[in-house]
Amino acid sequence: MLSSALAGRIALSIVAVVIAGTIAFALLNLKRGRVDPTEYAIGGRSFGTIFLWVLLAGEIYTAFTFLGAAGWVYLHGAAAYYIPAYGAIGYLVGYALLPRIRRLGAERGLVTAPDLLANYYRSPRLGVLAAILYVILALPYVTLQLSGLQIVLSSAGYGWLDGAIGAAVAFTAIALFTFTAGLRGTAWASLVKDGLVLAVVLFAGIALPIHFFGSLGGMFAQLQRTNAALLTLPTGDAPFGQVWFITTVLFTGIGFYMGPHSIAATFSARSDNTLRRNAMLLPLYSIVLIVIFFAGYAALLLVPGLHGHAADQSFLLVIARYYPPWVMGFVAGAGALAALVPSSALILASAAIVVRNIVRPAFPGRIDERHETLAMRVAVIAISAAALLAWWLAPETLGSLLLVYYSGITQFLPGVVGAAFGLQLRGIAVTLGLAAGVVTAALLTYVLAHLGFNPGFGGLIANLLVVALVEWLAPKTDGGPRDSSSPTPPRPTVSARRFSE
Amino acid sequence: MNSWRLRALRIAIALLPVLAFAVGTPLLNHVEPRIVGLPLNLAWVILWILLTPLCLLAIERLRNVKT
Repeated sequence: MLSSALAGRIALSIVAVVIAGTIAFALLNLKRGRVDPTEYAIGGRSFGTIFLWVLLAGEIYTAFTFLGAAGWVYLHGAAAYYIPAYGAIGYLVGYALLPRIRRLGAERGLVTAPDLLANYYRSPRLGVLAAILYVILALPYVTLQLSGLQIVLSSAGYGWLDGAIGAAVAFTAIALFTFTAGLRGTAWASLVKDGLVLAVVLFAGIALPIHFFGSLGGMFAQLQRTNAALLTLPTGDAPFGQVWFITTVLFTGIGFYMGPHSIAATFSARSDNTLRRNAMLLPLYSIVLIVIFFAGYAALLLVPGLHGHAADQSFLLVIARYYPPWVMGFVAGAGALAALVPSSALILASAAIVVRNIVRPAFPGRIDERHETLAMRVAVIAISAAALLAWWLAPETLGSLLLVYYSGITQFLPGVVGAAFGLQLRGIAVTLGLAAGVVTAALLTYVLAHLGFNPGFGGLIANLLVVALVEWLAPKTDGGPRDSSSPTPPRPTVSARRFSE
Repeated sequence: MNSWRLRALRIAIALLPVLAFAVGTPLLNHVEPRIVGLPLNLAWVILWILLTPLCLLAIERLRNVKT
């Protein structure tokens, strides 16, 4: 038996080689020369099927999924099946939605998600609100990846090295990489990450159960004897019960692509057909999640008794206990990449949003095309530093902000769908709806915790009601979305409006 | 087939996986009968992960049908 210091050194060296190798591979594949903002933020709208595959699926399945899905199965059993279920619904929505978003982006030169809303609804105010909300929602998501990274590195260190220091070092490396490489570099890194994650997941999910229980069937037979209640959902509106499952799957599924990095990835696509072909293939990616569930169930039987966040480490503990440090090195390397690469995409999308939708409107005429790439690079470093600092100083606050990530992100749905399908909504209606949706979702989450249904749904209903109400009250126009920020003509009375129709 | 019927058919096919995952899974909330050793509800989820690309393929084929 190796000492834990030696084991930790072996495993962490492999993790370091995996991360450094991935960064080097991605940098070697980049083109030399001047980088314009469209190339930097969305790969010059040139990505084909493989890059989109890794950006649209790989970036959504992060360290949170990698460790969290196993942890979910460990703690809540069948409730975790909501993850592949909403994914599949997300891909269906993506098939209809993403090609239309891409077309708008290419026709109108859009780069970020708030660009889409501000341009289509001709409302700079909506663009600024969307930008601020996106950054507030995305920052905790990045810091969540940092916590995931810390868990992975602590496990790989066997107690020899503090995971937090390693996480800070690795995160700094990836921030500098993002600064240099832009989205094209992130896509190359994503390719390596997905390959390694796939290999590790197949090992952990297939080899572990067969090694310890003879077969998958053997593992489930044992689970049925010892943890039968976990294998089905609690009935009715119990926590993580049937009602929760239905509402969460539908709600999270329709909001699947509303993240700022997902819209950026959509803009990076070469053609509509690339996006449609991807939507057809992506559901197969969910098989990876099923295999992670097997690993989580195996961990439940092998290292029982973990509670709360400790469950996220469950299958890493199995690896640490039963396998040599070099195996741990590759597993942790994959886990670290699963945290770092999606962070890179999210930081990049946020940086583009800060520059194009917050700084530029605030200082009109100051940042021209030539300086925009540089401004985005500076924003990448600033956002990375802010994420690191926030994670270090206030992890608790961030954890609770994260509760509203999905319910908040999905409030962009009415605006994005309206733009994609050419609905004649007013900018002011979408703006107020978005605000009402986010506020309602946050109130439901924090004030009335444990509803038995998904709180984001309440937010979306409030959102749609406000959009409908404003559309109904606001004066009719000849068509075309109106600019809510320009001086509005005097509102006709209700009867006048009726006659004018 | 005329175009609105075609569109309705495509939407109906798209709704199959949605209903199967969101409503089917919580209703088939049983372990028995186990399918090749897997609990029934998990086997159902895996089945629809495999069927969803086929549904999308059908929708894509219908998109290219001339009306």
